[in-house]
Amino acid sequence: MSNVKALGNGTPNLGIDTLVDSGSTEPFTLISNDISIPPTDSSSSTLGYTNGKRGRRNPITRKESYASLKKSRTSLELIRNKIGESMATRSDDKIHLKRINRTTKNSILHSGRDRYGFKKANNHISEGEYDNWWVSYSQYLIKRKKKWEKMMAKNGLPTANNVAPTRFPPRSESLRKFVRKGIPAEWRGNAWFYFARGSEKLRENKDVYDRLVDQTMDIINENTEAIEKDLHRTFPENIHFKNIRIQQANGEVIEEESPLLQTLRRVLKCFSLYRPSIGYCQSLNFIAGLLLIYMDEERAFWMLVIISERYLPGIHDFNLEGVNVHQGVLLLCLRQYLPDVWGMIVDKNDVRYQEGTNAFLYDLPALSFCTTSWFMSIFIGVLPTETTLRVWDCLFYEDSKTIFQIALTIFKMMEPELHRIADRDTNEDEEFLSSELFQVIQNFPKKLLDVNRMMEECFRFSNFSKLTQDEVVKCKQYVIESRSRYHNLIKKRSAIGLKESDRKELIKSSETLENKKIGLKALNWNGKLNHRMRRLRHKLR
Amino acid sequence: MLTKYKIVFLGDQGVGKTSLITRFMYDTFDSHYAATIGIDFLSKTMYLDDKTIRLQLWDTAGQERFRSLIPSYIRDSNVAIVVYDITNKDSFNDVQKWFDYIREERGSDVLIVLVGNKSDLEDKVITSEEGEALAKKIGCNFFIETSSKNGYNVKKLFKKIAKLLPELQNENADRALGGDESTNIQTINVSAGKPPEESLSSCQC
Repeated sequence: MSNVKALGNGTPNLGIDTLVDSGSTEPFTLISNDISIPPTDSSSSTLGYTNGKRGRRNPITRKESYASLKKSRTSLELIRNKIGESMATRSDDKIHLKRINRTTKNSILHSGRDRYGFKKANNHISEGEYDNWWVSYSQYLIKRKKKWEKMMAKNGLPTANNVAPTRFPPRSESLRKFVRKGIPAEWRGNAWFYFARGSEKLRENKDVYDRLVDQTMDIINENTEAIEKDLHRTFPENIHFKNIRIQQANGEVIEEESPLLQTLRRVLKCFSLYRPSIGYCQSLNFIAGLLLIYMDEERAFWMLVIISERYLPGIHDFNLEGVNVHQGVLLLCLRQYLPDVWGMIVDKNDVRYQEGTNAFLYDLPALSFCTTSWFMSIFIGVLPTETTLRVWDCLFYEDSKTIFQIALTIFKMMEPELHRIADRDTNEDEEFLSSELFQVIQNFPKKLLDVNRMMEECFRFSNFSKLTQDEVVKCKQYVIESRSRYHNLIKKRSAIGLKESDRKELIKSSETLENKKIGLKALNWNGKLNHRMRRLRHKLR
Repeated sequence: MLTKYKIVFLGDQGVGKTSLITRFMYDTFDSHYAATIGIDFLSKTMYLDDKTIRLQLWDTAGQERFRSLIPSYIRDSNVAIVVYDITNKDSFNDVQKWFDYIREERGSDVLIVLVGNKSDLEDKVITSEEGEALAKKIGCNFFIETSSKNGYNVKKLFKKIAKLLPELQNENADRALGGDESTNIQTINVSAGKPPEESLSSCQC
């Protein structure tokens, strides 16, 4: 496609500048077609988009789309440079070091926001707590940056001021330690892309992204509508994701959509077209949004592709089966490495958790669902921002086992809190207990600001620090097989007339008896089930 | 005696489930909340006439594919609140789907409330009459229009629910006495003279 190149060079080919009839079609209309939107003066927004009260947009032409594309890319560049500047520390210059040191520390202390534009305080962390932590953490950052620079130079990759390196030393034990202690924020985008072998992907798919941008420009479907609904719900508290308010000459204030949001829209739309088995899935907005703070949109797009196929396979698929598989692996890990925690989050009277059965893999305990977002958005919104970023550093260097190691670490660290509830001497029922535990599992990680402590707990003081990628892969395979065997069995059963509802009824009646403790022990029940299964299999043959 | 009730919020993406809960819990409003991924849990104690009840609120992700994750939360809920956006016809059309889904998981053993949210907005496309009619047609316990932005009817929504709940409790109590094994209301004893919050001090809210 010739116009693709044109787009890449920033000179749109006139041939595709066909006007979209603005009278009848509203290419990006968010709301139902039943309402007619009064035409707005297009001069009020150079982006062909007036946000108005609630994200409603004007019809825009393809020509304008390209203009807006160019503009948003340029403004985004500016934003990213600004973020970069605020994070960069010129640690080679000894005279300046002290001053910069102080500036880095103080600029954040005197602001309500962190280095990335997120609010420092939230429901779980107060500004005071944040500042307290930041005073020492900012010193740590400067120290680490210096060490990185030395290490890079030693490896023949000297770094220049305010220029992020694009190549990193070969993999080694020492580099892994460096990564675990945190990649300098201003290098993060390049480092993630490098460790995840993003450039390979980029080389193999030259021009693909620009072509996708072109193809998705005017597209409206279920995915794009879902994307529109989530754009403003992606980091709404981050300054860079907010609309920009512009005071016009006549004193009127108009709102312009943030270039980051426009970029995010394009990346998500392109992804939904590129990976139709996923389309758009809520949580991808957060992953793409965080990537966009650190890298340009084409790279962010390919990182999203890499994440969905290599680091979180199946997680965002239409049936979310990958989520269940990952929950299953986490349960196996908990049982293996943190048996005490395992004991608290499962109801021991439940037949699914008796020894020798793995029924919990296909009939997941309700409590495991509070970790859904841990996997789906790779801890965004679960852990504080800085903590999340440090986890991502390790993830792209060490592979997906990191996600399980961090999940285990969180459980390990909250063990005392879980005990406080589980060991309480009350006559409360399991159901109530479980909702209390849910609340702890949900809220505890949000307070984990002290990322260095978390990393030490994970990689130094735990019995799962040696968990290998190979083990995780094997566990995953095991869970996938268990689940598919089970589903096949259910299918066969329904083929011979045992309906899903019958199955549920069977399980329910056994559970009720079990709960009431009037006879049937789990083993007997299993025996009964095994017998039944044998009969069914026999019948099938 | 403190009675606990489980309330699940369902409805399409972006209709305002989280904002409704936030208005009720903290009496605040933001025009944009981060999208809910998976399931969130909050709980709140409510004082009603001479009664104190504990509401457990389960907030869910609205995108259709998340529906497969929700069943276990609906299974033993006392109340399901189905929310639509009065300016979004699709979200209204999907109410039936959410309703069928609840019935499938929970049968008739649950209070179902239909809520038309965002009543502060001018570009309303679903009239109150349409909302009312649908609620009647599918057999909801009641219908109400709310605005999380200005707080309109939010307290009323929960008060109305609370007022309906003791009936459920009595019904269930009757049934339990009659030998029925499925009771959905859990009760715990709070020793006399001790304020209920104290025994629930572990709560985060």
